[in-house]
Amino acid sequence: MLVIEMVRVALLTCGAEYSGVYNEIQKAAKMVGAEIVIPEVDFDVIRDVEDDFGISVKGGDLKLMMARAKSISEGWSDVDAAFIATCFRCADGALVRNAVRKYLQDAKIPVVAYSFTEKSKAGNFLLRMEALVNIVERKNLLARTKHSGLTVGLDSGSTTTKAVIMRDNEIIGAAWRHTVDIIDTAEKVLNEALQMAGVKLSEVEALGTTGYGRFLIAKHFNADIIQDEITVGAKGATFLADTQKGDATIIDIGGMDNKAITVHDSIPDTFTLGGICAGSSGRFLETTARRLGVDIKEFGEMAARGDYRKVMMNSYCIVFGMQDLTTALAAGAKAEDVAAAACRSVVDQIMEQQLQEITLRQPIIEVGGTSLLKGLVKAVREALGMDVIVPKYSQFAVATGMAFVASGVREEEVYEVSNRISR
Amino acid sequence: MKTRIFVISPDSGINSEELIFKILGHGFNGTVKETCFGAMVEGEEKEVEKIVDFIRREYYHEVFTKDRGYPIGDKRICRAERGGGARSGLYQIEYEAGFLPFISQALRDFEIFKVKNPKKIIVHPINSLILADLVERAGHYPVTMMEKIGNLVRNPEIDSPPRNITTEDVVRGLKYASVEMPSGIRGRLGVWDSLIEQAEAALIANYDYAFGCAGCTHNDILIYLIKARKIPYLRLNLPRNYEEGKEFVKKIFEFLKNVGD
Repeated sequence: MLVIEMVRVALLTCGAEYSGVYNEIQKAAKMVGAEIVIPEVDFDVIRDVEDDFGISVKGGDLKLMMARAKSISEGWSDVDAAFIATCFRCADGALVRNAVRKYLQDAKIPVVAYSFTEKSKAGNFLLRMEALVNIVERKNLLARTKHSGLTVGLDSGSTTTKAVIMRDNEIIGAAWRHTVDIIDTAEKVLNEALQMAGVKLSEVEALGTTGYGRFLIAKHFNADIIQDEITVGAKGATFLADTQKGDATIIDIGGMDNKAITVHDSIPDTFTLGGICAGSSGRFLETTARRLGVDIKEFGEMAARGDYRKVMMNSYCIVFGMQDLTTALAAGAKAEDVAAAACRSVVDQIMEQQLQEITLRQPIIEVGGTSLLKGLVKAVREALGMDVIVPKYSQFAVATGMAFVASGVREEEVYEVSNRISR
Repeated sequence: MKTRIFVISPDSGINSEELIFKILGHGFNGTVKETCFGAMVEGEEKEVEKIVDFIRREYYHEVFTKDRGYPIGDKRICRAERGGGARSGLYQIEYEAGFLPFISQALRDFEIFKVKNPKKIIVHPINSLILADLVERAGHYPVTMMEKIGNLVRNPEIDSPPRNITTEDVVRGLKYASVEMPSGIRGRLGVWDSLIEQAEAALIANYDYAFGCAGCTHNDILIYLIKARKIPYLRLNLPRNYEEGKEFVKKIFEFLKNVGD
């Protein structure tokens, strides 16, 4: 009989029990086969922990959070990963959350930080928890540096569906379409990618699914592996950028949400997932392109030629920010400058709300469909003050990572984490 | 059903075992559990009240007591169910236990008294053992979070472990703080709501460490709300030595006498 060990995820939180979300975090953990663990710590450690961290806060539960992190770092508590959660709009909470995240990252503990509201539900925590557990359980798969065999990666994204066919470490087929009907779109892109690769589905040795629709299409295609888009996206990005060893940061500005992931040897050590505001997503750029009367690719070229400083934007919002852009156009602003301002607005919001949750480590790799927009990449480069790598097939990074990881499960009989959710 | 904790002052000669023998020897008809800081008892409300009175008579200076929200052995806060870690409230007890010797000594200098007109006295921190205990010794009714949590966690219709605080409580907290305030303090405020409303006076002590129900970094909003109600209140620091302990108890007893007579 197969005995599956639960992944022990330390929950470091202040406020979850009083916001009605503690149980939601537990539910998400159970769904991915994780066990929530509260690290043990002595009161003396709590007394000294503010000096250890160099942070002074009023709340006892925040002090306790730091002390529990110390318990993990010192090995007093046996945990595999940590989930840090504090209340949204708490300055002290944000300070401690970030400090604890850095502290645990230094201790080589996979970690994700999240700020919740009373409306956060298990669904909000699920993808994060799934990725965290996959980082622990699938470490070996993610650490592989060479792909072998003939595999398929299918990424059913919120905006587009992508398919990648890989044979012995090479991409031999790739296709994408806008996501309409989830299964129908996946079938179409898979057929197109197979056609491009010149292979039949029956020849494929392993097929993996990822993205929003991963469970649905996994069932349809009888997938060998289902995995979250964070871990496979990171793998795909480092593979494509030829940076599988060492540090890197992956930025993926998606149609509905954004990911920022730091990795070491292709294994994420922390990540942040946006998705609350359309103004920080690719959707804002699509809307702007429509207003300018150009297609999205042309929009990217225009933005690269423009100067964002010439257009005043007072809001990141897809409604009110768009109003600013419209006002600027009415006042005679150039379309190029408006396009550049839209790109900069998206990047600025990501900088403010997401990138402060991770510690950027070079090289910076930008992937996802929006990485093809030259103006957006320029905005990222300028805002970060760092060079940004956009590898070939960058728009297929997640599907590529899935195809890559799938090659590792050819020899494995059991894949549990994400499959458990689909059941 | 009611659950009660007894905390032995660390400088006392008695130990948990002796305390439990005393409780059982008195014919307590309920559950008794030994703990690292003393004991817990659980039973019908009147039975528990009787045993509290008895222990206070027997160990007036050495044993301190307050309500406990959770039933004994509740899995929602059990270490075994949480991978080993204690609930945050335990640290509060550990912190407060450090001050008990100062208060224990001071109590010897004061006559035992009960006020004629007991009032509802809210304490800050709202889960304070020291303040709830002193309020009760004087014959008043301590207004604390423990009783509220007790009602919540014993309500089978709510499924939001471990404390059964739900979004509805957080929304109720909007009465006192806008959405600009974190949900953790609004959830607490939603539960404190009826406590603030019913309080007739307040005892406020400045704690360096408060946890759990009083563990939020915005916890002092309760002081503002107490003042806004314009009820009599006393605010003071926890004692750091025996002299300060005497002053601490003296001021509190004077205040409680004034409020109650």
